[in-house]
Amino acid sequence: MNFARKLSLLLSLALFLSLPLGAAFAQDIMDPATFGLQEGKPYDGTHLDFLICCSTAPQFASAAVKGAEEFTAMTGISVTFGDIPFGSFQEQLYLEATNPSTDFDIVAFVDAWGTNIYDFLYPLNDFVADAGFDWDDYGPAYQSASTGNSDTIYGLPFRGHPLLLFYRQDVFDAVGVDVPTTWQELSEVSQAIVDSGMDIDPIAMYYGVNVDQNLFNWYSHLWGAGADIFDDNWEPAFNNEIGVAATEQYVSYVRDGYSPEASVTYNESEANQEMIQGRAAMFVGWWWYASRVFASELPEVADNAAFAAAPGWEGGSAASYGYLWPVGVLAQSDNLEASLEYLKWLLHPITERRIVLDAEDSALDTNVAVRLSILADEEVNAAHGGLQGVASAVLADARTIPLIPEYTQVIPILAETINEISIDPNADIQGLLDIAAEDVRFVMQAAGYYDG
Amino acid sequence: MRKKRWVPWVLVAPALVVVFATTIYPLLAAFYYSFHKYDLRKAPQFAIQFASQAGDPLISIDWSLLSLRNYTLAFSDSRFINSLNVTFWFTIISVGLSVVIGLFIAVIVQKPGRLQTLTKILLIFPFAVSPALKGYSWRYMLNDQYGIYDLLAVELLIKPVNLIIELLNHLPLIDITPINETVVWLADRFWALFMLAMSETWGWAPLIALMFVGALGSIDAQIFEAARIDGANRLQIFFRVTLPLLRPVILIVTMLKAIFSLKMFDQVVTMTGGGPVRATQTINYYIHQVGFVRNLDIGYASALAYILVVILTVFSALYVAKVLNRE
Repeated sequence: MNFARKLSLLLSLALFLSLPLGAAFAQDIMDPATFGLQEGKPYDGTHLDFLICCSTAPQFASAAVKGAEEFTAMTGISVTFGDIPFGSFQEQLYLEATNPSTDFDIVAFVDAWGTNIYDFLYPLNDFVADAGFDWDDYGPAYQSASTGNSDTIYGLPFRGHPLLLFYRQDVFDAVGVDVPTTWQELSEVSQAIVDSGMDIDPIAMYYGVNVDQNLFNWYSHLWGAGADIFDDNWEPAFNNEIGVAATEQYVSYVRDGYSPEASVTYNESEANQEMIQGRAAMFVGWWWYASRVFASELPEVADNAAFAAAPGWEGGSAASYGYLWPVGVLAQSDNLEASLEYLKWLLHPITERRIVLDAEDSALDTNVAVRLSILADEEVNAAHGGLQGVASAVLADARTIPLIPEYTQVIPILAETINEISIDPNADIQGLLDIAAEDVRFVMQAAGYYDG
Repeated sequence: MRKKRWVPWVLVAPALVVVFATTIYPLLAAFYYSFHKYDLRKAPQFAIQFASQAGDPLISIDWSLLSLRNYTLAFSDSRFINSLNVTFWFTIISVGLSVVIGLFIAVIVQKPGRLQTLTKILLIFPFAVSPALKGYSWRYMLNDQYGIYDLLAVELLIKPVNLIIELLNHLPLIDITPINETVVWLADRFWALFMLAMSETWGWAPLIALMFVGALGSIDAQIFEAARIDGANRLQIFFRVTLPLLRPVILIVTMLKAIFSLKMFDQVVTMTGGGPVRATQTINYYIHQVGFVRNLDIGYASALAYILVVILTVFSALYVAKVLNRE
């Protein structure tokens, strides 16, 4: 028997022996009991509409596609994803949630937006208890974002994002610098890159007023330095001495020439493109951008891109914004029970793990997971180069923004002020923050937060 | 034969139903909401209540729920005042550029010829592009790293000007600062608004050119011939004959374009996001923010919308009067 024949026999034997294992695994994810789903397809034929965003983003597309057929096979429930572009998602969310006769049953929402629709969401506390959901498997920032810092669970963590620093290892090696762990070190590294004469911007920040994304890293600076948006009495506190210092540091990247001049108009995606297209050595953004950075068509970017925890404040903390898309069920849904059945499956650790491990289709490849157990999973980390482990460390210090309905009115005031400060190199930071604080106070006063 | 009077009504009924449902009803409803405190998140309390039990009057009105608060608030709202200001300047710039460039194009392509015919056909395409897409395209084309418009502006305008400045600086007593070659168009308040208006002009000027081509074609050629015989040169013919004869059409086109400019929304969302700071927040954009994104205050948003309706009505009335007068 020659070697080739022996080998083919061995392979056939191995394949034969692995069949029962495969069948067992396939049976596992096809068994309703695995996910705590009800036996006997009591909701067979029910159709659910899921209001969700951005089919071109793998983090959403993968959740929509991977395993959906199996869920339908197990339960008879079919789900349609109402794909809305991010730019118009907020208004669509509000219009559908407040519409008593909406077709939508399930909604995914940005944490800050959810505060305006809490009254229209079905409380999930009983569901979490009855379905055996391990609430402690979510980090504190995600728990806060799902409850609006109350006792009511309005949504369950679905897609969640810590801030990571993406950088070019080859640039760092050429310049001879280490990965910055604080914003102050980031400035030093940036200066070193400038001094080296390399034809690359040290960092691509995003200060544009477009969709308010210029606040994401500002929060990290503010909280890291020890300031906050509000004090305990809901008075604006971002304009105190620490807040001014944090804002100064935040806009210093463009003022000192480390970030492109045009970054005062960039949104997060445009800043990310600067790194993907090889024009910037660093980018601080949500971790889901990893797949875009590593898929860059430029080999010098794809082969040398690396990631680390977003920097913290020197002598302060590494607190950053843990950005969450919870998923909830609309109280007016005609298919409440079937919707909860879907959540059991969608948010189950097996489903979450499966989504994040399945890299077969690059268009659906995502690193996004929200459960601490999945973030600590060795196989998951091995598949993504340890990304989830770093994310987990960031999330340990992460927090969420003020979850009050008025905050959607406060956001543009802050975003426009940060934009104004970044545009004008001679802007009076203290003066502009003071004006913003007055405007914010006006909003809060009108909402009845203060006596008199 | 006896005329059946109801037949015309039956024939127009479907159209009337559609117009009522999509235009009249929303207009009336928004007008009604504008006098109420109507928060999208809360169950609204409206002044007009319909009878729920037999014996009640068919309709009762609770006057205490009606208020002019939303209208008075509007004129003390600095953000709304800003949006009025932005919309005013946007309208001036976009209407001015669209009409002037449209007229310029029309004069060039009005003469018969194959190339002109092809150009006339191609002219309609920019108008066919969706406004939202226009905004995205312009945002990318103005990018200082890879934007084609930025490249053209720097290479064809700023660099030649800087070359002249450099030469002039060799002369004694002259010291002119060169223009910054890395203009971030959308970071500057004026340029952002100007470029927003340019994106609108890009779509409208060709359409306006086609309107002018039609108007130019309707002018009797003998008038131009007579002017030439009287010794007028091309410029004199244009300014003393063509322009005066086009004046009614120019007025109509200006008013029509002004109506559309006052409603500016799509490109603000996709091109500037209202920035830098608040420099491109038009009235429509601000209304949308108040009603559906930030405050969810439908009552206040309705009042703001009605202020815009009043402005638009003035322009529309002038437009209709002019058109009817012309006919």
